[in-house]
Amino acid sequence: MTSNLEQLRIRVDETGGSGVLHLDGELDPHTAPLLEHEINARADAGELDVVLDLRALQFIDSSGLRVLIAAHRELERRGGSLTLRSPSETAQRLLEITGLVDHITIVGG
Amino acid sequence: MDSEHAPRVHLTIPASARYLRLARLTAAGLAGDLGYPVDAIEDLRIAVDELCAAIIDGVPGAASLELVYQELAGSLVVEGRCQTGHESSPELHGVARELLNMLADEYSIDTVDGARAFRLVKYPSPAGPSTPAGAPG
Repeated sequence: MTSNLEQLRIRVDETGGSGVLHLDGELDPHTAPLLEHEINARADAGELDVVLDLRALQFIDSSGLRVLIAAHRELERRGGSLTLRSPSETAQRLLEITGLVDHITIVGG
Repeated sequence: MDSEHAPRVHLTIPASARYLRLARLTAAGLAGDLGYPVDAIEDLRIAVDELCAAIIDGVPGAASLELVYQELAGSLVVEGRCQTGHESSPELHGVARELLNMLADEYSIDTVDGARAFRLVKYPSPAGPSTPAGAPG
């Protein structure tokens, strides 16, 4: 299943039974609501362990970070988790300078 | 070329988050042309984005965001203005403010005569203005 927005594409990979959301493009005030909706929809469907693959994320700002923070907190509250996989250099840098690397699970960096 | 005669790039876009990408692209393109390192270009992209987002937040759909980019005294200065029609101050969320404090060399954001405005200064390096080409090491 692919959700295609001109500036952010979210590709869902269900291989292996657990979905990974691949983000391709830019996460900003225009596209952040799309990611928020996608994560919330999956959580409401009972999928509480969410993995975001960020290798193709070309830009992220505070609106994107707020979505990640909110998702992390809500999924944890509901007994799940948020994992960020292979963040792009842009994403990794922002996660480090804001200290989010100490709060959100990041793999495959 | 002295700063007084440095070309100014004007960009007017709808005051909508959909078009913030153009503001970022313009900033990155100009910084690249000026020889900014990659990290400084990334800083500038984020800073421009955050300030633009703050001054267009909640404004009517027909409003425009006017941007001016100019090289000045070894830095790239970006000024933005959005006529909102009322005196609502722009708000910076905590994370946005944190990012701007880390990534921008100087910035200000305010409301003047019914318009929200910002000014951003970014040097190519953390130490400040770069050494002009040809100057002794």
